[in-house]
Amino acid sequence: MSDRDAAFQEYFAARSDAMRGTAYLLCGDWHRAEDLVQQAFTKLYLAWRRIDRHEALDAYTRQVLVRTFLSERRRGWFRFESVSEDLADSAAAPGRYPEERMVLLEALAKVPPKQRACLVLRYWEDMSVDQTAAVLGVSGGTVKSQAARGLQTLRGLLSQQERVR
Amino acid sequence: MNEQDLRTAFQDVVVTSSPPPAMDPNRALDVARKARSRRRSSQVGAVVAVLVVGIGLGSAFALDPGGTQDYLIGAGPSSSSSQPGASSKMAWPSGQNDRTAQQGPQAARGVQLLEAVKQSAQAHGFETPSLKYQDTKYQNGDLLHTQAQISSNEGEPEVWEYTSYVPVRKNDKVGKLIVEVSTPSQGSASEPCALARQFWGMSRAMCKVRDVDGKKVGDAASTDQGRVMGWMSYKHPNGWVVNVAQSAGYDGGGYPALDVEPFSGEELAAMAVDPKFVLGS
Repeated sequence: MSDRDAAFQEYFAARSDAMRGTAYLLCGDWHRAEDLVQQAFTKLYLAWRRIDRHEALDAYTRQVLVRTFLSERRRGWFRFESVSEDLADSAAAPGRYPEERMVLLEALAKVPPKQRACLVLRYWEDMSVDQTAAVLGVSGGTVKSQAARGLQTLRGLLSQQERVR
Repeated sequence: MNEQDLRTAFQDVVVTSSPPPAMDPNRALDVARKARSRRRSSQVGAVVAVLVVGIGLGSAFALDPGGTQDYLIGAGPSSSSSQPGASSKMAWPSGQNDRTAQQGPQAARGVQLLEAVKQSAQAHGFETPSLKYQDTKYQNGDLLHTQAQISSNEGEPEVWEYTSYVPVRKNDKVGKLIVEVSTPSQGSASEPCALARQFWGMSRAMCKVRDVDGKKVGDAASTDQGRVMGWMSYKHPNGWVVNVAQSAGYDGGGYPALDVEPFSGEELAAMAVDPKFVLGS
């Protein structure tokens, strides 16, 4: 095995779980999340020689992952309109999906993808406005407005669901 | 729910959702290697295709030099620690529900910027059509659009940011011109390349300083995938910052991209120092 392959494997073992968590919050499905992670790491592997600093690996992989998610949403390859439908198909074991988590995932699924990406990067990845802007390729001001709108949307959806329940 | 509640909720969701077993690094490497093999094969194929076309053209030229010249001409021109940005408690100016101004004097400045950008593009021979995204996933959105928004946070001096996106068309090919203008901000760098690297968080951009009639402009380019290819950043003497960015295509628009970036570096830099983009003057 080449040095590059060994280093890639080591990096994958260390970081794929964290990236998969981010992907899961973006798409709401673990299988789809793993597809996104695989795509992101494959692109990383192809670009491995161009990325010479270790700290840049995370940034690159996360950027590819988020942009792949947004791009597939635009192209319609990936449909994630209702978390509840997906979960019903998967025949969850009793008690496997706590109600609170269902409520948040259902609401998150209804937040527009770019706003959702802003929320996940800002409040799950704990990235700064500038870092989020770099990942999404937008201005810091746009990150702030998208995150604020996303949070507002989420808050509205959660209060709606609360009323229904 | 506030920002902290959301952080906690995200943690809970991921932790309690029974993630599947960790992904297999061997399998990930195997998939990546196969992707590399496929890419190499396609690159070899492309080289072969170029050679075949070259041989074909060479033969055609030998048989009919004038005809080959016509063919070539006929092909057309080749031409952390951050502030809590989502501050939901921020008091918006009168008439606003969020950061963006939809009406009033700030929104009017956004429109003023859009018109100024169109004018600059048209002066260089481009059309600036009102095109729609062809992909229905964009909900029939407009490629030509502008935005005025507050970019500062609660408790900071108010900073407004105006951004206009203009599709630039020539010979049915469409590129993109973006101009983003900010009112004076304490955080904006004075050194041209430091200023350019503040644009859209692209802190690792390549940059050189360009001189435009004695004015120092940051001439930057990003090598990141899917990113604007080049931009110019200039801080006017009154503190307003102008960023002018371009790319040969319009991402997601669904139109053929220009063969090269729409404007030369010199033209783009001239736009960055153009006083008409300093909207308050």
